[in-house]
Amino acid sequence: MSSYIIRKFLMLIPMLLVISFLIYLGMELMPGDAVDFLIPPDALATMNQEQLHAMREALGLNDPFFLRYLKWLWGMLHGDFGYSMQSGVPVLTLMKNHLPATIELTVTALVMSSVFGIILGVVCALKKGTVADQILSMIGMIGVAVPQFLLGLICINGFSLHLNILPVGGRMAYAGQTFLERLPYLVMPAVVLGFSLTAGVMRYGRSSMLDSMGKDYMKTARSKGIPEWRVNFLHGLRTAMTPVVVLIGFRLPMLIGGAVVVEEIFQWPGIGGLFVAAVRSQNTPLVMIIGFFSVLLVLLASIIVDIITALLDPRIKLS
Amino acid sequence: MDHKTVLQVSDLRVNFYNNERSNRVLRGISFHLEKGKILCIVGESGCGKSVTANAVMGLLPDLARIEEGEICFWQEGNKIRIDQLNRKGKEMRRIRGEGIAMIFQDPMTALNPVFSVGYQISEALLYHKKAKNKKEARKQSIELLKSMGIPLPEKRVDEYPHQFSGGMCQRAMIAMAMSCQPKVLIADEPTTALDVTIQAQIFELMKVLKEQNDTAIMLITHDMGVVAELADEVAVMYMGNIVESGDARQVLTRSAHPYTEALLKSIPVLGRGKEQDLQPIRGTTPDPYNRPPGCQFAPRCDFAREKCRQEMPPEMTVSDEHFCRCFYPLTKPEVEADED
Amino acid sequence: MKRGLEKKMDRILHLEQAGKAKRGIKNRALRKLLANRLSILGIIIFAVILIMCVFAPVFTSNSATKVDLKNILSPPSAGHILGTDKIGRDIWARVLYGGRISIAVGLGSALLATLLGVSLGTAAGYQGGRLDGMIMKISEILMSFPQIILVLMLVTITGQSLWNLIFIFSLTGWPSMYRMARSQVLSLREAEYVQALKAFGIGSMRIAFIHILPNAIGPIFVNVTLSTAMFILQEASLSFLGLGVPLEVATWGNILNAAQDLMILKNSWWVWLPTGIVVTLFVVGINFIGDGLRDATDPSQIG
Repeated sequence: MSSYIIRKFLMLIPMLLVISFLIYLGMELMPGDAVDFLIPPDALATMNQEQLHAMREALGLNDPFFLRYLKWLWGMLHGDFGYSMQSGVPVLTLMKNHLPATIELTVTALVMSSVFGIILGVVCALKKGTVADQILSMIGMIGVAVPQFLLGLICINGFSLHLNILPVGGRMAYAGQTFLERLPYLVMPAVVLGFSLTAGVMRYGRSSMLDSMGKDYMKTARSKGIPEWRVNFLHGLRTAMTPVVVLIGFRLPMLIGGAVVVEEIFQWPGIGGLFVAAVRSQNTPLVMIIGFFSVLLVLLASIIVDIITALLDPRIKLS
Repeated sequence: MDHKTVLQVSDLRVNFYNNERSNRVLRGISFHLEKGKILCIVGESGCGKSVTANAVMGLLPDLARIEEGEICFWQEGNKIRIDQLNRKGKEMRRIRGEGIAMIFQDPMTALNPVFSVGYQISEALLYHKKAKNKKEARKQSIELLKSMGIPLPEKRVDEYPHQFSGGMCQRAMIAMAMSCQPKVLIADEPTTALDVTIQAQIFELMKVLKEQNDTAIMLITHDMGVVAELADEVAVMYMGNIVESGDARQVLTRSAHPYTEALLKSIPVLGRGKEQDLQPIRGTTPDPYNRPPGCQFAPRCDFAREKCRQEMPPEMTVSDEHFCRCFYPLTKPEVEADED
Repeated sequence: MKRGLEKKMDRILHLEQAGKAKRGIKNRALRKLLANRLSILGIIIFAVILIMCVFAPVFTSNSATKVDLKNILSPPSAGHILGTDKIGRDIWARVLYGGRISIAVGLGSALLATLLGVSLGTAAGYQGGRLDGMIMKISEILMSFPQIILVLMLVTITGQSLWNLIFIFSLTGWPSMYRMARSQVLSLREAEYVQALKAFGIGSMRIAFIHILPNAIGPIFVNVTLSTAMFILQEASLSFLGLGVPLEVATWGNILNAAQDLMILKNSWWVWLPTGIVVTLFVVGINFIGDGLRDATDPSQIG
């Protein structure tokens, strides 16, 4: 098992290198100078042309492209992400302030969607053909079609503006509030973010469970005389989980991408909102770096999903 | 009932309900199993052999029903009517595994791929309270694997089905089935998915079970060769009826029903060379939803007469241990049957 | 539940004995038709919305861009079926004309991405080797990005415009088509008729594109429909944020952009809700069509 995990991490490295290279390329393609985001802006304002030129030399900005890339990479590995062109705050500080909120939102949405989706999917499978199954399937089909932001708008309109039972947004920046205090703010964004994933997991879980229930080993299990619930859940569900977990792994990028829009609508202080603001103000380096982080998140989450899959299905690990 | 009979099926009728149609799959079959004897149920696909096994185990699908008949099982002197039990109830579940166990055709798909073999055997042991805890169950599992001839059982017990070969998988399944010492073992085409050489090993294993454990074995197959090899008694099924049954040697050497005769003639025999006279049975099995009236085999029978096409023959006695459902059996009955 | 089954079985038995049994075959066709009922519904929804948008002048006499500051935020009325927005533009007209753009973006990107992905998948999948490996790696990298983030990263570099958006969508969308086409080609590559063609000396690309690809058309069509739906949703999300198609051009997402204002959200439901419903309906319709296509072309379902 540990060799499996190590292998997965090792495969991550070349991919991250290539991506970081592309990101740097993206940054280079923008008009403007790298010096603009490598120097604290107050220093930038006070320097004259000669000093700036000396700076460029010192920073190695006149070095060949590849050398600059390596230096930038080196800086990145040490936590030096440069400064935001807009606010002058070091990017690292920005990330530290905003990343936890996004993690809180996405993890909540992920866990909620997975659990609800699987439960509903299993219920549909066990009660196949009944009214409940048909209604849930219809909701599922609509659920994957509703634009996430529309759902968010409807929720805000309904629950906040008209019914006044949930706050409209603007959860305070991550400081000093307990989880329970944050909960009312978390409910709507998490539900909206996870809605289409829930629908997808439910549909897929249903078909996977139906598939599993028709398999031969279910009959074998029954022929041993063990209770029906054990047959359905231990033998049926457990085996049906693997494809569902794989599906969730595939949907991770969409989840993190969805966080961008959801954070914007609900004013959630995460890196998604930061990203949108950066795009709006053409703050290229910040855009690129947040982009890089989003990929990092996806890849790390994928590894976790792979590990869970291997735990569920021993055939994978050993192949 | 003599004390050797452990399972008795009388006039069993089972209907399947699909797509708003009813399919009368079993039309009144009767047979019995005795301790330490092997009964082979043989027939083509679709004749109802597996349905019989499922009915005995209470594993019929939800949309299938026992319409008439009895399935009697004797356990420690008590007679239990399986046909009247709730299929998912406690009593039926207790019988499964402990009283009657079943093994299936494809061992690779019949075992759950995500659990180790030892776990699956232990599951049966723990639920039927043959082992007090997981450790004991594991020890017993290792013993069982060893007794079935699996080498290195201490290592194998923690391995997964996909790491076993086909033959070993089947042995593991037999180990699992025998773990709670059932009186009856039902084997549904256990070697169809295996190589011929492995087949022989599994059959040896079954003979051992029969002789050492006194287990009654109901072996379902479509292969007459298997019947010749293993059966003490045989029941030939066609389209939901047992058309001939009795002592294996008698049925095979002096077959009474045209179908049995036709089956025997259509199988190539090793050693007779390529000039053998193979005679495939003409025609095909009728559509189950559109059955012919009268004897189901009549359309394909070379000896069919008017009476055959009109009514289904009742069971006639050919000899002391030999019965057949035919108005005009090939073997002259020792006792003349009524002709009506 | 057991009671229900018992009754059902008894009913069937009585029907049969009375000679009134239905033919069993009819039921399989019935099942197919039922599945098709949803696809027919999908086709109807899709066609209705498409026709109304393409032939917009027929369905509305108003202009989508005419500003009328005397009539801002007026609720639905005779002259304006869906009311007006915050600078007095007729919403209904904007939905119709905007639909043209949204659908064009969705369909255009899907077709372009398909063209690119399927060509690469077929060629690389058939040839195999280093080229295939390299493209595979590229597709893996592209697929690890959340699509909206990748799109916005590229938009930051290239700037916002309609054509930029279509190209960027295609550039970020081809990997999934590539994967799908490639897996189809890989499985068909070993088929016997391919071996026969090779034995006849037919060129690789010809085999790949003319002989193998048509057999994989089913899943490709399904994916085109689903991609269209996905791109329409993406355009809507991006334009809603103001980062998609430039705001001067009417698209469904751009109309919804107004809902960012909480006052409009609360008080002027006609500005955003109908548009949102239209988008959802359209995507639902496309999904139904895609599901129907999938059922029709899935070999495990046939027969």
